[in-house]
Amino acid sequence: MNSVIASLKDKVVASTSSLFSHGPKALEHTLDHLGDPGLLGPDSVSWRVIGDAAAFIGGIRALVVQTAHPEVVAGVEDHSRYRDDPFGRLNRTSVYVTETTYGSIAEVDAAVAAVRSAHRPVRGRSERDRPYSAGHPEMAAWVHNVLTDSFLAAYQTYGPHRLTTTEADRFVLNRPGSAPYSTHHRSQTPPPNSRNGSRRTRPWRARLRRSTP
Amino acid sequence: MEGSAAQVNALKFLREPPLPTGVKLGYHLLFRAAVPTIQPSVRALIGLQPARGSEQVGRATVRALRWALGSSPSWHLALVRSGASVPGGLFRQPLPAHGGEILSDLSWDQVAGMDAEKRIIDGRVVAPLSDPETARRLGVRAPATVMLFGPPGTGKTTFAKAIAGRLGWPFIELLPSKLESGDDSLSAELRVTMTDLLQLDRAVVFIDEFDEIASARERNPATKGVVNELLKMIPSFRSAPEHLLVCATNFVAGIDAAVLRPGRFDLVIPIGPPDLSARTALWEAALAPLDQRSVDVEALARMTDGYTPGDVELATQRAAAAAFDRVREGSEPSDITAHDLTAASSAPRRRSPPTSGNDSVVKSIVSLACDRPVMVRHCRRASVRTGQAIGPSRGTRRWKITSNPALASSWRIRWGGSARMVLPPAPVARLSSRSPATVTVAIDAISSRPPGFSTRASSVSAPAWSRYQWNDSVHTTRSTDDAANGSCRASARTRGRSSPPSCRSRPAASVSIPSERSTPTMLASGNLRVSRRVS
Repeated sequence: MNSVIASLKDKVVASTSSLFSHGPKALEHTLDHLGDPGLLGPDSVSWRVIGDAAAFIGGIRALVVQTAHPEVVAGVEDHSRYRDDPFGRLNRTSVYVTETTYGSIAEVDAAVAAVRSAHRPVRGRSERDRPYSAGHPEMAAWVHNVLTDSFLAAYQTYGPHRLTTTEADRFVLNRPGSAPYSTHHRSQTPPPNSRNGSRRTRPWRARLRRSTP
Repeated sequence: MEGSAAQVNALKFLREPPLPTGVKLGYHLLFRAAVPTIQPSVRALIGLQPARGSEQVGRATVRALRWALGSSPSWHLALVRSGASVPGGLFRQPLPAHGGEILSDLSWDQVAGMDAEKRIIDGRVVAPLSDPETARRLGVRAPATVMLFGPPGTGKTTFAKAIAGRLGWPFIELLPSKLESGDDSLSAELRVTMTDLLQLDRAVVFIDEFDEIASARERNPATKGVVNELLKMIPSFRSAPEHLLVCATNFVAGIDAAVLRPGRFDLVIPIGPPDLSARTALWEAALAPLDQRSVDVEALARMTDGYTPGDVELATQRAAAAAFDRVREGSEPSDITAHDLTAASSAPRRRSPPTSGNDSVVKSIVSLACDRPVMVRHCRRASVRTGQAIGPSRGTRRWKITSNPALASSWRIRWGGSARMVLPPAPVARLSSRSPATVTVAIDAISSRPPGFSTRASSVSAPAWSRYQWNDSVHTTRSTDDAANGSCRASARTRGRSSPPSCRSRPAASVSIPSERSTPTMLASGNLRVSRRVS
């Protein structure tokens, strides 16, 4: 019985971790920036939350919840190769989150610049004939908020210790990621500044649609 | 409000992505675990409902991932880059240059039988380390240093590995013979190696034949430097969280007193020869691949009391060789018979079990866990003169069992084989001058009941761990059996005194830890039984 459990455990670990380990690695040259605490620093809640194994679940959760926004999904459908390269999609998201969380300032800048550059051509019209653009603050904020909320929810459910309300608020407030569009999105869809703000979906309701027929 | 085709497709894709089989399981577990974390209103929007038991699956998955991978290596890198301290226990690290392995929990099952030892090790070593929060809450100090002692071939190494396997910590075995290299002395190498090992997040470090490097300095001045180094090293090891030092020895009495004193080793655990159930399992395993007629394994196991796994293997080989010779000669029977095994088991590697004699048998005398006078005696088929063997010093007939109330309350001593006495804390058992000249003492095992341990839990049937070769500085008089066999030197006054090879693996010696020596908590199972008789 023990051997069955052990072998199952090994299988789970191997199959789960390899989901996120295809393609380029994050922070390959980070030690070139010795002494740089990065955007958040060692004492940040983000380092703890994103560093835990529960973040694997948070990542998948974010992808699922993001499907509720028809324009975001349209952008992904029209411009991403996720169907042909599901690993690549997971890996790119994972590298971006890792670099903006743990990277030195130079690496954070590079990651943000790379995303902005990749998102520049992502524009079009959704099925319901609304325009979309990856650089649009509303959509960027949706993606960012869902990601933040997902990591937090996964950590609170599966993490080693539950964060206090203050810690959760700090996590939400300090999450990097919407920086590429931060100059724009505040005016239209304010980013969450607390745990509750991150979880509140009501402001978005009008823009969301069922993902199922 | 219906979803767009893109939304439907995206969700369908996320539910059943075309992933290779190897990673599908992992993805589905993560997906399943993710659903219950989504707010119900959003779940309703995207049309997902959590499956039953999803959270439990998620918890088990995350636990397995945390165990196998540790925390994110990127976090580790970022801490190093920013110059912050790296908290212990968070990150998986490559095994050190000294070797090491991650063992599976299966090692535990490889120890057949030995239920008493398993119970002690599981309860006192593995449990507090694997559940430190509960241990801390209840005031149980998780052990950092453990000594396993017992005769050769009883599975001390396997137990050490099993501890690492159960904890899921890397197992690193240090071989003193390999540590010493070039111009560097053993003590310097030991210091460097242990410093390296302390950098690991967690580790079970195992040193076998510990007496080789930590023998009493007064007897072996050559080890003085190493012992001094060990004395400095052990406290650092004890202060490092999630590090366990396991040492094993066949000669616990030969170890320097300073190394064994309380505060250095948390637990000293005897690992005796396999008990009946363990021997049965050993015989079954040894005979399974052989061409043999139906052998009464249980009878064989009963007959081979005191056999170690090595002994069982040797006897099996002998039986197989006998069958092989027969086949080559064209004789019958052509397979291994019960007679082969019986003959092989009675072959002169060890003495036959005692049969009779007024002199009876001193199976073992083990005194445990004392702050002050401590004696460890082990004799079999030898009578012991009271004054010489039992007293903390020659001629003294006072036997102070222990002065540690936490331990003393658990000694149960049976005098004369019938009367039973449970000693009060700090008991002093006196053998008066009118006591018989010869006392036969038999201790099958010892029950220690530290706080929180129930008597019932610890009073289990004892393994007959009475076959140690702790050949040391006390007298053992020659037993009638010995005399009849003429095989074993009757008296071994000093450690290292020569005795016939046939005697070396036998338990006919006794050992004494000098009175000024003390040991830390010593655990054994079963009851202490002391019987006294007039010779």
